[in-house]
Amino acid sequence: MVTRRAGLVVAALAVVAALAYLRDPPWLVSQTSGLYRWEQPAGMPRYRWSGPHASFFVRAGAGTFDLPVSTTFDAHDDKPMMVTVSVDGVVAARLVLTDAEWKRVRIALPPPGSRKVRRLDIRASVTRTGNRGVRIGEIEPVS
Amino acid sequence: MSRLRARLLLIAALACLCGYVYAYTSGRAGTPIRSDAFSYYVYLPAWLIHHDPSLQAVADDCCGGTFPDYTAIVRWRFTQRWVNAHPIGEAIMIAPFFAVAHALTYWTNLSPDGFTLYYQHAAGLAGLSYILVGLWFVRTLLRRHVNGGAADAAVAALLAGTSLYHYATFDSVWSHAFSFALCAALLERMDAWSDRSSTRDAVVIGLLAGFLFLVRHTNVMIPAALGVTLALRDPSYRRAAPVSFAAALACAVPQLWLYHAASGRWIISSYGDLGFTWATPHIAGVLLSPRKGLFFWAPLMIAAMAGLAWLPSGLRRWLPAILVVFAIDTYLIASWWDWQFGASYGHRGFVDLYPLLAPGLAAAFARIPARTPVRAAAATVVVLLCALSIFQMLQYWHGVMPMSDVTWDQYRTLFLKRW
Repeated sequence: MVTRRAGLVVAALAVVAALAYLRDPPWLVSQTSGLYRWEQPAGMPRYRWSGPHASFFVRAGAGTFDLPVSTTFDAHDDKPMMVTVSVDGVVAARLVLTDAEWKRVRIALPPPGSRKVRRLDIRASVTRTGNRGVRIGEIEPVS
Repeated sequence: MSRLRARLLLIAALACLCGYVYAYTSGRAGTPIRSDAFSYYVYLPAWLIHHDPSLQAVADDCCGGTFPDYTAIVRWRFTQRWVNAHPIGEAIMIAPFFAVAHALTYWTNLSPDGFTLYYQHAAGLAGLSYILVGLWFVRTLLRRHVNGGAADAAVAALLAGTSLYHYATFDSVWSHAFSFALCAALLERMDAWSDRSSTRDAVVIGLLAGFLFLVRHTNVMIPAALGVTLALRDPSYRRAAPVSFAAALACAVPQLWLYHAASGRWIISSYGDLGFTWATPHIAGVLLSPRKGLFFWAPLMIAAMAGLAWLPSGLRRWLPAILVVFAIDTYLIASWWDWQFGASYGHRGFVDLYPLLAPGLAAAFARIPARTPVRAAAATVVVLLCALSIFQMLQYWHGVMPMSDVTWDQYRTLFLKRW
Protein backbone atom coordinates (compact mmCIF):
# COMPACT_ATOMS: atom_id res chain seq x y z
CA MET A 1 0.00 0.00 0.00
CA VAL A 2 2.79 2.39 1.00
CA THR A 3 4.80 1.38 -2.08
CA ARG A 4 1.78 2.01 -4.28
CA ARG A 5 1.20 5.43 -2.75
CA ALA A 6 4.87 6.31 -3.18
CA GLY A 7 4.63 5.22 -6.81
CA LEU A 8 1.63 7.47 -7.35
CA VAL A 9 3.44 10.42 -5.75
CA VAL A 10 6.49 9.83 -7.98
CA ALA A 11 4.26 9.56 -11.06
CA ALA A 12 2.42 12.78 -10.13
CA LEU A 13 5.73 14.59 -9.59
CA ALA A 14 6.99 13.32 -12.94
CA VAL A 15 3.86 14.64 -14.68
CA VAL A 16 4.22 18.04 -12.98
CA ALA A 17 7.92 18.21 -13.92
CA ALA A 18 7.15 17.23 -17.52
CA LEU A 19 4.43 19.90 -17.74
CA ALA A 20 6.74 22.53 -16.28
CA TYR A 21 9.37 21.61 -18.88
CA LEU A 22 6.88 21.59 -21.76
CA ARG A 23 5.55 25.04 -20.90
CA ASP A 24 8.51 26.71 -22.63
CA PRO A 25 10.96 24.07 -23.89
CA PRO A 26 14.25 25.21 -25.46
CA TRP A 27 13.62 23.26 -28.69
CA LEU A 28 10.44 25.17 -29.41
CA VAL A 29 12.24 27.95 -31.29
CA SER A 30 13.27 25.46 -33.98
CA GLN A 31 9.80 23.89 -34.36
CA THR A 32 8.02 24.56 -37.63
CA SER A 33 5.00 23.19 -39.40
CA GLY A 34 3.81 23.57 -42.97
CA LEU A 35 7.15 24.85 -44.25
CA TYR A 36 9.33 23.45 -47.02
CA ARG A 37 13.14 23.55 -47.08
CA TRP A 38 15.12 26.76 -47.40
CA GLU A 39 15.97 27.69 -50.99
CA GLN A 40 18.14 30.38 -52.49
CA PRO A 41 17.99 30.63 -56.28
CA ALA A 42 20.47 33.02 -57.92
CA GLY A 43 19.51 36.64 -57.52
CA MET A 44 16.80 35.93 -54.94
CA PRO A 45 16.76 36.30 -51.17
CA ARG A 46 16.83 33.11 -49.10
CA TYR A 47 13.29 31.82 -48.56
CA ARG A 48 11.17 28.79 -47.86
CA TRP A 49 7.77 27.97 -49.24
CA SER A 50 4.84 27.60 -46.91
CA GLY A 51 1.82 25.40 -47.38
CA PRO A 52 -1.62 27.00 -46.95
CA HIS A 53 -0.91 27.17 -43.22
CA ALA A 54 2.54 27.34 -41.69
CA SER A 55 3.84 28.10 -38.25
CA PHE A 56 7.22 28.85 -36.73
CA PHE A 57 8.62 30.58 -33.67
CA VAL A 58 10.58 33.77 -33.07
CA ARG A 59 12.34 34.99 -29.94
CA ALA A 60 9.88 36.82 -27.69
CA GLY A 61 12.29 39.77 -27.51
CA ALA A 62 12.48 40.17 -31.29
CA GLY A 63 10.52 43.46 -31.03
CA THR A 64 9.44 44.78 -34.42
CA PHE A 65 10.53 43.08 -37.64
CA ASP A 66 9.64 42.75 -41.30
CA LEU A 67 8.66 39.42 -42.79
CA PRO A 68 9.38 39.29 -46.56
CA VAL A 69 6.71 37.35 -48.48
CA SER A 70 5.94 36.70 -52.12
CA THR A 71 4.27 34.13 -54.32
CA THR A 72 4.13 33.17 -57.97
CA PHE A 73 1.78 34.64 -60.56
CA ASP A 74 1.58 32.98 -63.93
CA ALA A 75 -0.94 32.75 -66.73
CA HIS A 76 -2.65 29.65 -65.28
CA ASP A 77 -2.57 30.72 -61.66
CA ASP A 78 -2.80 34.44 -61.03
CA LYS A 79 -5.42 34.74 -58.32
CA PRO A 80 -4.58 37.38 -55.70
CA MET A 81 -3.56 35.82 -52.40
CA MET A 82 -4.38 37.17 -48.96
CA VAL A 83 -1.66 36.41 -46.44
CA THR A 84 -2.64 36.54 -42.78
CA VAL A 85 0.00 36.59 -40.05
CA SER A 86 -0.96 35.78 -36.46
CA VAL A 87 1.13 36.07 -33.34
CA ASP A 88 0.21 33.47 -30.70
CA GLY A 89 -3.12 32.98 -32.45
CA VAL A 90 -4.04 36.69 -32.66
CA VAL A 91 -4.14 38.26 -36.12
CA ALA A 92 -1.28 40.78 -36.37
CA ALA A 93 -1.22 41.69 -40.07
CA ARG A 94 -2.91 41.03 -43.39
CA LEU A 95 -1.56 41.61 -46.85
CA VAL A 96 -2.91 40.94 -50.34
CA LEU A 97 -0.37 39.79 -52.92
CA THR A 98 -1.36 40.80 -56.44
CA ASP A 99 1.97 40.37 -58.22
CA ALA A 100 5.18 38.39 -57.83
CA GLU A 101 7.13 41.21 -56.17
CA TRP A 102 8.44 40.65 -52.64
CA LYS A 103 6.40 42.51 -50.02
CA ARG A 104 7.25 43.12 -46.38
CA VAL A 105 4.80 42.51 -43.58
CA ARG A 106 5.68 44.52 -40.50
CA ILE A 107 5.09 42.68 -37.25
CA ALA A 108 5.35 44.35 -33.85
CA LEU A 109 5.53 41.70 -31.16
CA PRO A 110 3.87 42.45 -27.84
CA PRO A 111 6.26 42.90 -24.89
CA PRO A 112 7.83 39.59 -23.82
CA GLY A 113 5.56 37.57 -21.56
CA SER A 114 6.21 34.40 -19.63
CA ARG A 115 7.59 32.49 -22.63
CA LYS A 116 10.91 32.85 -24.43
CA VAL A 117 9.34 32.50 -27.88
CA ARG A 118 6.22 33.57 -29.75
CA ARG A 119 4.40 31.59 -32.41
CA LEU A 120 3.81 33.02 -35.86
CA ASP A 121 1.11 31.44 -38.03
CA ILE A 122 1.04 32.31 -41.72
CA ARG A 123 -2.13 31.50 -43.67
CA ALA A 124 -2.54 31.87 -47.42
CA SER A 125 -6.07 32.27 -48.77
CA VAL A 126 -5.29 30.25 -51.91
CA THR A 127 -2.49 27.93 -52.97
CA ARG A 128 -0.27 27.54 -55.98
CA THR A 129 0.85 24.34 -57.72
CA GLY A 130 2.10 21.71 -55.28
CA ASN A 131 -0.01 22.97 -52.37
CA ARG A 132 2.32 25.95 -51.90
CA GLY A 133 1.26 29.18 -50.26
CA VAL A 134 3.82 31.95 -49.92
CA ARG A 135 7.58 32.23 -50.07
CA ILE A 136 8.73 33.44 -46.67
CA GLY A 137 12.09 35.17 -46.43
CA GLU A 138 14.29 35.66 -43.40
CA ILE A 139 13.08 37.98 -40.68
CA GLU A 140 14.52 41.51 -40.96
CA PRO A 141 14.73 43.32 -37.61
CA VAL A 142 13.55 46.94 -37.62
CA SER A 143 15.74 49.10 -35.46
CA MET B 1 12.66 -17.24 -17.76
CA SER B 2 9.28 -17.24 -16.00
CA ARG B 3 9.96 -13.70 -14.72
CA LEU B 4 10.67 -12.60 -18.29
CA ARG B 5 7.45 -14.22 -19.44
CA ALA B 6 5.50 -12.51 -16.69
CA ARG B 7 6.68 -9.21 -18.13
CA LEU B 8 6.14 -10.21 -21.76
CA LEU B 9 3.78 -7.36 -22.61
CA LEU B 10 5.96 -4.83 -20.81
CA ILE B 11 8.94 -6.06 -22.84
CA ALA B 12 6.82 -5.88 -26.00
CA ALA B 13 5.85 -2.31 -25.10
CA LEU B 14 9.48 -1.29 -24.57
CA ALA B 15 10.53 -3.00 -27.81
CA CYS B 16 7.79 -1.17 -29.71
CA LEU B 17 8.69 2.16 -28.11
CA CYS B 18 12.35 1.68 -29.05
CA GLY B 19 11.36 0.92 -32.65
CA TYR B 20 9.02 3.91 -32.73
CA VAL B 21 11.65 6.30 -31.36
CA TYR B 22 14.22 4.94 -33.82
CA ALA B 23 11.85 5.28 -36.79
CA TYR B 24 11.13 8.95 -36.03
CA THR B 25 14.46 10.14 -34.64
CA SER B 26 16.41 8.59 -37.51
CA GLY B 27 14.21 10.47 -39.97
CA ARG B 28 13.28 7.23 -41.75
CA ALA B 29 9.52 7.53 -41.24
CA GLY B 30 8.65 11.20 -41.87
CA THR B 31 5.67 12.08 -39.72
CA PRO B 32 3.19 9.53 -38.30
CA ILE B 33 0.13 11.11 -39.99
CA ARG B 34 0.95 10.59 -43.64
CA SER B 35 -0.50 8.92 -46.73
CA ASP B 36 -3.52 6.70 -45.82
CA ALA B 37 -3.07 7.61 -42.17
CA PHE B 38 -3.98 11.22 -43.00
CA SER B 39 -7.34 10.17 -44.37
CA TYR B 40 -8.19 7.99 -41.38
CA TYR B 41 -7.16 10.74 -38.98
CA VAL B 42 -8.53 13.84 -40.74
CA TYR B 43 -11.92 13.62 -39.00
CA LEU B 44 -10.42 14.62 -35.64
CA PRO B 45 -9.21 18.11 -36.62
CA ALA B 46 -12.39 18.51 -38.69
CA TRP B 47 -14.73 17.67 -35.80
CA LEU B 48 -12.83 18.85 -32.75
CA ILE B 49 -10.87 21.88 -33.99
CA HIS B 50 -12.79 23.24 -36.98
CA HIS B 51 -16.21 21.91 -35.86
CA ASP B 52 -16.91 21.12 -39.50
CA PRO B 53 -17.88 17.52 -40.30
CA SER B 54 -17.92 18.38 -44.01
CA LEU B 55 -14.06 18.37 -43.96
CA GLN B 56 -13.94 21.64 -45.97
CA ALA B 57 -12.31 23.67 -43.18
CA VAL B 58 -9.48 21.13 -42.89
CA ALA B 59 -9.12 21.09 -46.67
CA ASP B 60 -8.72 24.89 -46.57
CA ASP B 61 -6.23 24.83 -43.71
CA CYS B 62 -4.05 21.93 -44.81
CA CYS B 63 -4.38 21.76 -48.53
CA GLY B 64 -5.55 24.99 -50.12
CA GLY B 65 -9.18 23.93 -50.31
CA THR B 66 -8.74 20.61 -52.13
CA PHE B 67 -7.44 17.35 -50.72
CA PRO B 68 -4.57 15.77 -52.69
CA ASP B 69 -5.39 12.70 -54.82
CA TYR B 70 -3.49 10.26 -52.56
CA THR B 71 -5.99 10.88 -49.75
CA ALA B 72 -8.90 9.29 -51.66
CA ILE B 73 -11.04 12.10 -50.25
CA VAL B 74 -13.04 13.23 -53.26
CA ARG B 75 -15.84 15.66 -54.03
CA TRP B 76 -19.00 13.64 -54.60
CA ARG B 77 -20.04 14.31 -58.18
CA PHE B 78 -23.67 15.23 -57.49
CA THR B 79 -23.31 17.19 -54.24
CA GLN B 80 -19.75 18.56 -54.47
CA ARG B 81 -19.28 17.57 -50.82
CA TRP B 82 -16.21 15.72 -49.54
CA VAL B 83 -16.45 11.94 -49.26
CA ASN B 84 -13.63 10.08 -47.53
CA ALA B 85 -12.89 6.49 -48.60
CA HIS B 86 -11.45 5.87 -45.14
CA PRO B 87 -14.10 5.55 -42.44
CA ILE B 88 -14.30 7.19 -39.02
CA GLY B 89 -13.54 4.33 -36.62
CA GLU B 90 -9.82 4.87 -36.32
CA ALA B 91 -10.30 8.59 -35.62
CA ILE B 92 -12.73 7.79 -32.80
CA MET B 93 -10.23 5.34 -31.33
CA ILE B 94 -7.46 7.96 -31.48
CA ALA B 95 -9.71 10.65 -29.93
CA PRO B 96 -8.57 10.19 -26.28
CA PHE B 97 -4.94 10.54 -27.39
CA PHE B 98 -5.91 13.54 -29.52
CA ALA B 99 -7.52 15.24 -26.50
CA VAL B 100 -4.28 14.96 -24.51
CA ALA B 101 -2.28 16.23 -27.49
CA HIS B 102 -4.67 19.16 -27.94
CA ALA B 103 -4.32 20.22 -24.31
CA LEU B 104 -0.52 19.88 -24.46
CA THR B 105 -0.43 21.85 -27.72
CA TYR B 106 -2.09 24.82 -26.01
CA TRP B 107 0.16 24.36 -23.00
CA THR B 108 3.33 24.56 -25.13
CA ASN B 109 1.83 27.13 -27.54
CA LEU B 110 2.28 24.99 -30.65
CA SER B 111 -0.11 25.65 -33.50
CA PRO B 112 -3.42 23.95 -32.62
CA ASP B 113 -4.21 22.82 -36.16
CA GLY B 114 -4.33 19.07 -35.56
CA PHE B 115 -1.10 18.27 -37.35
CA THR B 116 1.73 19.72 -35.25
CA LEU B 117 4.16 17.75 -33.11
CA TYR B 118 1.96 16.44 -30.29
CA TYR B 119 -0.94 15.51 -32.54
CA GLN B 120 1.43 13.56 -34.78
CA HIS B 121 2.87 11.48 -31.99
CA ALA B 122 -0.39 11.11 -30.11
CA ALA B 123 -1.74 9.40 -33.22
CA GLY B 124 1.46 7.39 -33.65
CA LEU B 125 1.47 6.22 -30.05
CA ALA B 126 -2.26 5.44 -30.23
CA GLY B 127 -1.56 2.84 -32.92
CA LEU B 128 1.30 1.42 -30.89
CA SER B 129 -0.90 1.24 -27.78
CA TYR B 130 -3.70 -0.54 -29.63
CA ILE B 131 -1.26 -3.19 -30.91
CA LEU B 132 -0.28 -3.82 -27.27
CA VAL B 133 -3.94 -3.99 -26.27
CA GLY B 134 -4.48 -6.49 -29.08
CA LEU B 135 -1.55 -8.57 -27.90
CA TRP B 136 -3.00 -8.56 -24.38
CA PHE B 137 -6.28 -9.97 -25.70
CA VAL B 138 -4.47 -12.54 -27.87
CA ARG B 139 -2.42 -13.67 -24.88
CA THR B 140 -5.49 -13.88 -22.64
CA LEU B 141 -7.28 -15.99 -25.23
CA LEU B 142 -4.35 -18.31 -25.84
CA ARG B 143 -3.53 -18.87 -22.16
CA ARG B 144 -7.12 -19.98 -21.68
CA HIS B 145 -6.56 -22.91 -24.05
CA VAL B 146 -2.86 -23.77 -24.37
CA ASN B 147 0.03 -23.88 -21.92
CA GLY B 148 1.55 -20.54 -20.92
CA GLY B 149 4.83 -21.20 -22.70
CA ALA B 150 3.20 -21.86 -26.07
CA ALA B 151 0.86 -18.87 -25.63
CA ASP B 152 3.69 -16.49 -24.76
CA ALA B 153 5.89 -17.82 -27.56
CA ALA B 154 3.05 -17.29 -30.03
CA VAL B 155 2.52 -13.70 -28.84
CA ALA B 156 6.24 -12.91 -29.07
CA ALA B 157 6.54 -14.57 -32.48
CA LEU B 158 3.46 -12.78 -33.76
CA LEU B 159 5.01 -9.42 -32.89
CA ALA B 160 8.59 -10.08 -33.99
CA GLY B 161 8.11 -12.64 -36.74
CA THR B 162 5.47 -10.84 -38.80
CA SER B 163 4.86 -7.30 -40.01
CA LEU B 164 2.96 -6.55 -36.78
CA TYR B 165 6.00 -4.83 -35.26
CA HIS B 166 6.23 -2.58 -38.32
CA TYR B 167 2.56 -1.59 -37.91
CA ALA B 168 3.14 -0.87 -34.21
CA THR B 169 5.98 1.51 -34.97
CA PHE B 170 6.78 2.80 -38.46
CA ASP B 171 3.23 2.78 -39.85
CA SER B 172 1.29 2.80 -36.59
CA VAL B 173 -1.40 5.25 -37.78
CA TRP B 174 -2.49 2.96 -40.62
CA SER B 175 -5.76 1.22 -39.81
CA HIS B 176 -4.18 -2.19 -39.25
CA ALA B 177 -3.10 -1.57 -35.66
CA PHE B 178 -6.67 -0.65 -34.79
CA SER B 179 -8.27 -3.55 -36.65
CA PHE B 180 -5.78 -5.94 -35.04
CA ALA B 181 -6.76 -4.76 -31.54
CA LEU B 182 -10.49 -4.94 -32.25
CA CYS B 183 -10.26 -8.36 -33.92
CA ALA B 184 -8.24 -9.72 -30.98
CA ALA B 185 -10.66 -8.25 -28.43
CA LEU B 186 -13.70 -9.55 -30.29
CA LEU B 187 -12.36 -13.10 -30.59
CA GLU B 188 -11.35 -13.15 -26.94
CA ARG B 189 -14.66 -11.73 -25.70
CA MET B 190 -16.68 -14.12 -27.85
CA ASP B 191 -14.53 -17.03 -26.72
CA ALA B 192 -15.14 -16.02 -23.11
CA TRP B 193 -18.92 -16.04 -23.63
CA SER B 194 -20.79 -18.48 -21.41
CA ASP B 195 -24.34 -18.94 -20.20
CA ARG B 196 -23.37 -16.73 -17.24
CA SER B 197 -22.50 -13.81 -19.53
CA SER B 198 -24.58 -10.68 -19.13
CA THR B 199 -26.29 -8.19 -21.41
CA ARG B 200 -23.27 -5.93 -20.86
CA ASP B 201 -21.03 -8.62 -22.38
CA ALA B 202 -23.34 -8.75 -25.40
CA VAL B 203 -23.15 -4.95 -25.73
CA VAL B 204 -19.34 -5.07 -25.56
CA ILE B 205 -19.29 -7.68 -28.32
CA GLY B 206 -21.60 -5.49 -30.38
CA LEU B 207 -19.47 -2.40 -29.86
CA LEU B 208 -16.32 -4.26 -30.88
CA ALA B 209 -18.12 -5.55 -33.98
CA GLY B 210 -19.40 -2.07 -34.79
CA PHE B 211 -15.96 -0.54 -34.44
CA LEU B 212 -14.45 -3.21 -36.66
CA PHE B 213 -16.89 -2.05 -39.35
CA LEU B 214 -16.11 1.59 -38.58
CA VAL B 215 -12.35 1.10 -38.95
CA ARG B 216 -12.54 -0.84 -42.20
CA HIS B 217 -15.85 -1.82 -43.73
CA THR B 218 -14.62 -5.15 -45.13
CA ASN B 219 -13.83 -6.15 -41.53
CA VAL B 220 -17.56 -6.76 -41.10
CA MET B 221 -16.99 -10.35 -42.18
CA ILE B 222 -15.06 -11.00 -38.94
CA PRO B 223 -17.92 -10.32 -36.47
CA ALA B 224 -20.36 -11.90 -38.90
CA ALA B 225 -18.46 -15.19 -39.07
CA LEU B 226 -17.57 -15.28 -35.37
CA GLY B 227 -21.08 -14.20 -34.34
CA VAL B 228 -22.78 -16.88 -36.43
CA THR B 229 -20.39 -19.48 -34.98
CA LEU B 230 -21.13 -18.43 -31.41
CA ALA B 231 -24.87 -18.30 -32.02
CA LEU B 232 -24.85 -21.78 -33.55
CA ARG B 233 -22.75 -23.29 -30.77
CA ASP B 234 -24.14 -21.47 -27.74
CA PRO B 235 -27.90 -21.10 -27.24
CA SER B 236 -27.38 -18.41 -24.59
CA TYR B 237 -25.72 -16.17 -27.17
CA ARG B 238 -28.59 -16.76 -29.59
CA ARG B 239 -30.80 -14.87 -27.11
CA ALA B 240 -28.21 -12.11 -26.64
CA ALA B 241 -27.27 -11.71 -30.31
CA PRO B 242 -29.96 -9.05 -31.03
CA VAL B 243 -28.41 -6.90 -28.28
CA SER B 244 -24.97 -7.23 -29.90
CA PHE B 245 -26.47 -6.49 -33.30
CA ALA B 246 -28.23 -3.38 -32.01
CA ALA B 247 -25.02 -2.11 -30.38
CA ALA B 248 -23.07 -2.72 -33.60
CA LEU B 249 -25.73 -0.94 -35.63
CA ALA B 250 -25.68 2.02 -33.24
CA CYS B 251 -21.91 2.28 -33.83
CA ALA B 252 -22.39 2.28 -37.58
CA VAL B 253 -25.06 5.03 -37.63
CA PRO B 254 -22.68 8.05 -37.49
CA GLN B 255 -20.73 6.70 -40.45
CA LEU B 256 -23.89 6.09 -42.45
CA TRP B 257 -25.13 9.56 -41.56
CA LEU B 258 -21.87 11.10 -42.80
CA TYR B 259 -22.14 9.22 -46.08
CA HIS B 260 -25.73 10.34 -46.45
CA ALA B 261 -24.96 13.96 -45.59
CA ALA B 262 -22.16 14.04 -48.15
CA SER B 263 -23.70 12.08 -51.00
CA GLY B 264 -27.37 11.47 -50.33
CA ARG B 265 -26.64 7.72 -50.16
CA TRP B 266 -26.23 5.50 -47.11
CA ILE B 267 -23.45 3.26 -48.49
CA ILE B 268 -20.91 4.54 -50.99
CA SER B 269 -17.36 4.07 -52.19
CA SER B 270 -15.27 7.10 -53.00
CA TYR B 271 -12.58 5.09 -54.76
CA GLY B 272 -14.22 6.05 -58.05
CA ASP B 273 -13.11 3.85 -60.94
CA LEU B 274 -10.64 2.02 -58.72
CA GLY B 275 -12.13 -1.25 -57.57
CA PHE B 276 -12.03 -5.02 -57.65
CA THR B 277 -10.89 -7.32 -60.44
CA TRP B 278 -13.07 -10.24 -59.31
CA ALA B 279 -12.28 -12.46 -62.31
CA THR B 280 -8.50 -12.22 -62.01
CA PRO B 281 -7.55 -12.34 -58.32
CA HIS B 282 -3.82 -12.49 -57.51
CA ILE B 283 -4.15 -15.26 -54.94
CA ALA B 284 -0.59 -16.56 -55.37
CA GLY B 285 0.66 -12.98 -55.36
CA VAL B 286 -0.85 -12.08 -51.99
CA LEU B 287 0.04 -15.39 -50.34
CA LEU B 288 3.34 -16.55 -51.81
CA SER B 289 5.08 -13.96 -54.00
CA PRO B 290 8.19 -11.96 -53.11
CA ARG B 291 6.16 -8.85 -53.96
CA LYS B 292 3.89 -9.02 -50.92
CA GLY B 293 3.16 -12.69 -50.19
CA LEU B 294 1.93 -13.24 -46.64
CA PHE B 295 3.81 -16.53 -46.24
CA PHE B 296 6.89 -15.24 -48.07
CA TRP B 297 7.38 -12.26 -45.75
CA ALA B 298 6.06 -13.94 -42.59
CA PRO B 299 6.92 -17.66 -42.93
CA LEU B 300 5.78 -18.23 -39.34
CA MET B 301 2.25 -17.86 -40.65
CA ILE B 302 2.75 -21.22 -42.43
CA ALA B 303 3.10 -22.76 -38.96
CA ALA B 304 0.02 -20.79 -37.87
CA MET B 305 -2.03 -22.20 -40.76
CA ALA B 306 -0.74 -25.73 -40.10
CA GLY B 307 -1.49 -25.30 -36.40
CA LEU B 308 -5.16 -24.66 -37.17
CA ALA B 309 -5.38 -28.42 -37.73
CA TRP B 310 -4.25 -29.01 -34.12
CA LEU B 311 -6.36 -26.44 -32.32
CA PRO B 312 -7.22 -27.47 -28.76
CA SER B 313 -10.84 -28.56 -28.30
CA GLY B 314 -11.92 -25.25 -26.76
CA LEU B 315 -10.74 -23.28 -29.80
CA ARG B 316 -11.78 -25.78 -32.47
CA ARG B 317 -15.27 -24.31 -32.69
CA TRP B 318 -13.75 -21.17 -34.24
CA LEU B 319 -11.99 -23.06 -37.03
CA PRO B 320 -14.73 -22.79 -39.71
CA ALA B 321 -15.13 -19.06 -39.03
CA ILE B 322 -11.37 -18.49 -39.18
CA LEU B 323 -11.07 -20.39 -42.46
CA VAL B 324 -14.07 -18.63 -44.01
CA VAL B 325 -12.80 -15.16 -43.02
CA PHE B 326 -9.28 -15.97 -44.22
CA ALA B 327 -10.58 -17.29 -47.55
CA ILE B 328 -12.93 -14.36 -48.19
CA ASP B 329 -10.41 -11.76 -47.13
CA THR B 330 -7.69 -13.36 -49.25
CA TYR B 331 -10.02 -13.22 -52.26
CA LEU B 332 -10.95 -9.60 -51.53
CA ILE B 333 -7.33 -8.52 -51.09
CA ALA B 334 -6.21 -10.47 -54.15
CA SER B 335 -9.00 -8.92 -56.24
CA TRP B 336 -8.26 -5.30 -55.30
CA TRP B 337 -6.88 -3.37 -58.26
CA ASP B 338 -3.70 -2.66 -56.26
CA TRP B 339 -3.43 -6.09 -54.67
CA GLN B 340 -0.08 -5.14 -53.07
CA PHE B 341 -1.87 -2.36 -51.14
CA GLY B 342 0.83 0.11 -52.19
CA ALA B 343 3.83 0.58 -49.96
CA SER B 344 3.90 -1.82 -47.05
CA TYR B 345 6.20 -4.22 -45.24
CA GLY B 346 4.79 -7.68 -45.90
CA HIS B 347 1.15 -7.70 -46.93
CA ARG B 348 -0.58 -5.23 -44.66
CA GLY B 349 -4.03 -6.47 -45.59
CA PHE B 350 -3.53 -9.59 -43.46
CA VAL B 351 -2.41 -7.79 -40.27
CA ASP B 352 -6.08 -7.36 -39.32
CA LEU B 353 -6.46 -11.16 -39.31
CA TYR B 354 -3.37 -12.04 -37.26
CA PRO B 355 -5.46 -12.54 -34.07
CA LEU B 356 -7.44 -15.23 -35.91
CA LEU B 357 -4.21 -17.00 -36.91
CA ALA B 358 -2.57 -16.69 -33.48
CA PRO B 359 -4.42 -19.76 -32.08
CA GLY B 360 -2.92 -21.82 -34.91
CA LEU B 361 0.56 -20.57 -34.10
CA ALA B 362 0.11 -21.35 -30.40
CA ALA B 363 -1.32 -24.79 -31.22
CA ALA B 364 1.68 -25.54 -33.44
CA PHE B 365 4.06 -24.49 -30.68
CA ALA B 366 2.14 -26.49 -28.07
CA ARG B 367 2.38 -29.61 -30.23
CA ILE B 368 6.18 -29.67 -30.10
CA PRO B 369 7.19 -32.14 -27.38
CA ALA B 370 8.98 -30.57 -24.42
CA ARG B 371 12.65 -31.19 -23.68
CA THR B 372 13.46 -32.80 -27.02
CA PRO B 373 15.95 -31.92 -29.76
CA VAL B 374 12.95 -31.14 -31.96
CA ARG B 375 11.93 -28.44 -29.51
CA ALA B 376 15.40 -26.89 -29.50
CA ALA B 377 15.53 -27.00 -33.29
CA ALA B 378 12.04 -25.49 -33.60
CA ALA B 379 12.90 -22.73 -31.12
CA THR B 380 16.04 -21.95 -33.10
CA VAL B 381 14.11 -21.76 -36.37
CA VAL B 382 11.45 -19.49 -34.83
CA VAL B 383 14.07 -17.14 -33.38
CA LEU B 384 15.90 -17.02 -36.72
CA LEU B 385 12.68 -16.28 -38.60
CA CYS B 386 11.89 -13.47 -36.15
CA ALA B 387 15.40 -12.08 -36.58
CA LEU B 388 15.04 -12.28 -40.38
CA SER B 389 11.70 -10.50 -40.25
CA ILE B 390 13.09 -7.67 -38.12
CA PHE B 391 16.18 -7.39 -40.33
CA GLN B 392 14.10 -7.22 -43.52
CA MET B 393 11.84 -4.66 -41.87
CA LEU B 394 14.90 -2.51 -41.15
CA GLN B 395 15.96 -2.95 -44.79
CA TYR B 396 12.52 -1.63 -45.74
CA TRP B 397 12.82 1.29 -43.32
CA HIS B 398 16.22 2.23 -44.72
CA GLY B 399 15.15 2.00 -48.33
CA VAL B 400 17.24 -1.08 -49.12
CA MET B 401 14.15 -3.22 -49.72
CA PRO B 402 11.75 -1.53 -52.17
CA MET B 403 8.36 -0.53 -50.80
CA SER B 404 6.52 -2.60 -53.43
CA ASP B 405 7.03 -4.66 -56.59
CA VAL B 406 9.95 -6.67 -55.17
CA THR B 407 11.02 -9.36 -57.65
CA TRP B 408 12.65 -12.68 -56.76
CA ASP B 409 15.92 -11.54 -58.37
CA GLN B 410 15.83 -8.31 -56.36
CA TYR B 411 15.10 -10.22 -53.18
CA ARG B 412 18.02 -12.60 -53.74
CA THR B 413 20.36 -9.69 -54.45
CA LEU B 414 19.23 -7.80 -51.36
CA PHE B 415 19.02 -10.82 -49.02
CA LEU B 416 20.79 -9.91 -45.75
CA LYS B 417 22.28 -6.80 -47.37
CA ARG B 418 22.98 -4.12 -44.78
CA TRP B 419 21.97 -0.51 -45.14
